[in-house]
Amino acid sequence: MQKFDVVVVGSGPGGYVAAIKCAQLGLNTAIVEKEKLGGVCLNVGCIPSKAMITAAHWLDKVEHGFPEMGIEVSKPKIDFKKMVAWKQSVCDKMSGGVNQLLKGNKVTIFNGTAEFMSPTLIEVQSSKGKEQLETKYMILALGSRPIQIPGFEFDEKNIVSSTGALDLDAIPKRMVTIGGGYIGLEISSYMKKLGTDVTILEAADSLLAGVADPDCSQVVARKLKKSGVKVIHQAKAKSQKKTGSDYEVTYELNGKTETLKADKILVTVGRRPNGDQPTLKKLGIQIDERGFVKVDAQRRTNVKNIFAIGDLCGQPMLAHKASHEGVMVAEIIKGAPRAFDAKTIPAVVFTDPEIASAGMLESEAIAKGYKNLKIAKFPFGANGRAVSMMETDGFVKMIASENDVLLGVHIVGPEASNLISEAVVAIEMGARLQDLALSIHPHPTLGETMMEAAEATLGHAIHIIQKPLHTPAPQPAATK
Amino acid sequence: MAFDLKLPELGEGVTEGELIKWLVKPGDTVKADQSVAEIMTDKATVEVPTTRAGVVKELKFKAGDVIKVESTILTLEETGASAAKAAAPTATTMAAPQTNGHAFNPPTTTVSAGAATGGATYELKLPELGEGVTEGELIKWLVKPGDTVKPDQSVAEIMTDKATVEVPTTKGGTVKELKFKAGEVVKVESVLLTLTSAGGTQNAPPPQAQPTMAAAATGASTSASFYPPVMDSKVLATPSTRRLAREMQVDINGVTGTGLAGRVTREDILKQLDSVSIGTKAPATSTGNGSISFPKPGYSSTNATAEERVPLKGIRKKIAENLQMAKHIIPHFTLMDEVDVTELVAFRESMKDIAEKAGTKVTYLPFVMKALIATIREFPAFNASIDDNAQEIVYKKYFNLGFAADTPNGLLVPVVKQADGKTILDISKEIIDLSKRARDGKLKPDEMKGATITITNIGSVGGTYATPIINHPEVAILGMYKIQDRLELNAEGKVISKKYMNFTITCDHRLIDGALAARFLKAFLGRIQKPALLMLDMH
Repeated sequence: MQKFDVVVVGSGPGGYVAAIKCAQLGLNTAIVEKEKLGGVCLNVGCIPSKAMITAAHWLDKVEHGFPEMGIEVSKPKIDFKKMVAWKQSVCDKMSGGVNQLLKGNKVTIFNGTAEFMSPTLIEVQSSKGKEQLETKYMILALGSRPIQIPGFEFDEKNIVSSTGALDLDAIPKRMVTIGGGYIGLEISSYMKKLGTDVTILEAADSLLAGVADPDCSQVVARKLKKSGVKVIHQAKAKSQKKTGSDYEVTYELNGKTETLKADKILVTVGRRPNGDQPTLKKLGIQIDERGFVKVDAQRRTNVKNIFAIGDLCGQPMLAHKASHEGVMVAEIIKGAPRAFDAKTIPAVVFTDPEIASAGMLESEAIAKGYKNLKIAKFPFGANGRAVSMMETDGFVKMIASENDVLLGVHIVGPEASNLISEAVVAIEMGARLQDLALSIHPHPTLGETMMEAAEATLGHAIHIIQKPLHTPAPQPAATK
Repeated sequence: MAFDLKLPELGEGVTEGELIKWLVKPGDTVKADQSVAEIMTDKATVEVPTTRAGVVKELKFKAGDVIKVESTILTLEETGASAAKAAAPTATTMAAPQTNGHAFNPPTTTVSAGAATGGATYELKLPELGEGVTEGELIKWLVKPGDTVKPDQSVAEIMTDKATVEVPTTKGGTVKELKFKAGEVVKVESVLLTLTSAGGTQNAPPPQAQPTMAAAATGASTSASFYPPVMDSKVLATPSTRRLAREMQVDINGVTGTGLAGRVTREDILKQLDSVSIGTKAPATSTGNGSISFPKPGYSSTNATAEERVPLKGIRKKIAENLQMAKHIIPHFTLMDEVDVTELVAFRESMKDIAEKAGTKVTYLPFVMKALIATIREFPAFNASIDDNAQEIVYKKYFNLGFAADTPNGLLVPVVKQADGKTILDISKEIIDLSKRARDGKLKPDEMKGATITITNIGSVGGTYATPIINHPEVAILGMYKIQDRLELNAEGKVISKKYMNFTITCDHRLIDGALAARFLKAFLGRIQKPALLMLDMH
């Protein structure tokens, strides 16, 4: 039996970060992983999907951007096996990096399945047999998995979750995507660019409903439509059956039953936390009806030496939230009086164009009691860099309180995912619109749109015409 | 047992490396993690450590050889390591957590055995109160039976011969029984009170849990001490300010921000703490309570292995608090001058025999005290205090002279009370007695209280001048330094030997201006230079 101060179970972006921080703080730390280091994020989630999206993006540029720029190439040929192998090399590099970081920090790695015996005892089952780990603290970072719906059980060959979709042998001819959430949209977008005929079945009236700013998702919806992706709203997938080499998907629309043919079915209706692992019950921790482990603001469970982080402990299921919690919990174990104190957890969707947001939606700000909100948009079409990149779809939208405190930023457009970080810092610092407007942003960059959106929300941005045309005096910085 | 050390993975995509040189030879004893070879890959030169300890038996390659990853590079004869590894397979529970650098404090509470009903009973024992302190007098209880207490809440005030301390409980719960009455003397490690753990059923581990678990849980800061996250509130504050609030246990949601648009600033949080502690406790007296909470900036070590850590506690902690407070509150300034003490030296010499007959030894300090009292009568501002709460100046019509005493435990300030009514010989005897007991740690707290002005005699050790810190709530401190011989030309042009001594007066500028201090020092030094003048001050 080996003894540790902390055993982290799960090595995704929550778990491995927690383990490294624990080790950095001088705690004797172990991490248990049953699959590859890095978890879903590095192996079958964020990273591989970004690799595929990048490949598809360049292909799209070659086909649709190059001719206008005066570059003529013959029709590009796709070696899909090579593309998938390259994607895999990206994942392996990242996972190998995690391995090196853990080892370098002297974290003991156990490759195997954790069976929970008691709040201080874990048994790891691996090819090498069983090993018992005794620990003072436990950090559960068990993650989540794709939700399966009846009639569409995953075989990960033809009926696939995101995991299978990222590891196909060949580019599908026709694909039906069930669920128009961010994962479904990201995969559908790049599949379309690679040449797949894609139809999305979405139960709600709009894409990314309740998640993204409606103006932002509309830009993506328009671009999807333009690119030929078919989106059927208020559609409910019912069943599928194999007909020859294809599948026939039956769905309900406005009370009528319809069918679609496809050779691949992608089911992306959400993810569920892995709180249903059988031996978790032996810990005595409370798990809610959706499978989330119940935690307090320190991410501590009802059993005081056990913490849960990441997808396992609640929404939003995002890697960066998990990492933040991992660092925090390590410090709490070491004795720091911390609690989850972020003002905002940003979110990014790698559609074309990208969507990114930080802070509140307009509807959320109203629900919180803010009145007379100031809201304005600044379009990428008015930004020199965006035009020269041939990426003019989209805008930066800002929502501020009556006294100009920045409440929310919603971006749809080129590099939205990279631009949002400025908004995160601004919101965390309690910035006002003038703080952004008065900070000099370098020209010519996409980042100027942040400054101009702040100016627009204050009344007048330089590079767009806003009515009324005149303001009586420069906006005073009076304390309100 | 023989062990084959294999070449480990050397990095992403690296399959082999060239052996640059061996760092060990056959027969060497190596420890785990010790580097044994230098290997150069196409990316870097790395030192390869052994994973096991033992004696090197055989080196499998020569320098210059290219070695594939996973090849055996050397063999070791293991020394006991594997035996130790295999040893403890039967043990299934872990011993109570040890103090290995993180926050586990050895609990001074003990759990009574018959706690089957969930409401466990804890006995809170009087912890150690400082170096060499074995007992303390219970001044008063801060809780009564039936009160609910949180961990770290103060439950009693205990006075030792060095200071009055508040004793916190290490566990939360409901107070069951107080074992002593105010005025009683309590020995260290005696049971002060008993507690019933209120949240027994919630805190208690689930049935499968090992008993060690509850102990482990006390290591991390407990959930009782944090306020709700700010995500749901409208409070504006930077992330670092929010973290500061957590560390200071100030609920940021309830703080009125003074920054732009109502931002809560770092200063707002620090101010919260000041107002809380100044308001509830009155600072003061010569050994008094330094009760302002100051920010505690972090200390991060760049060389921890070459440093030793000891707790800041007892008298040292008290000194630190008092002086930090004094320096924080009082705008200090120091005036320095020298004076001819030839006559004073001669005068003291002349009375040596008399003193000996009276069974004592006279130092310069009693003369300085007498000269000081005479000068204070002329300049009452030097024997005063500022009552900050009342916004009044308190002029004192009595003369209690503190003097700084260097003791093995640190600086103490015993007080010669009503020194104006005592003779030089009486004062000498009292100084000798107080100094001895200060060194032995036998002073009563009362004997370190109530000074109206303090003298520091650092000159007996060394140094020409110092800038002392005033003993709050006094407003001045006199410094006296060592006597030095000096040759001078007299009026007839003859070389004569004189003795000189340096003095400093350090003042609270809120009450005493520079010119006043200069006049004070001149009048005082006049008396020192001509001790006969002290006759004029007699009444």
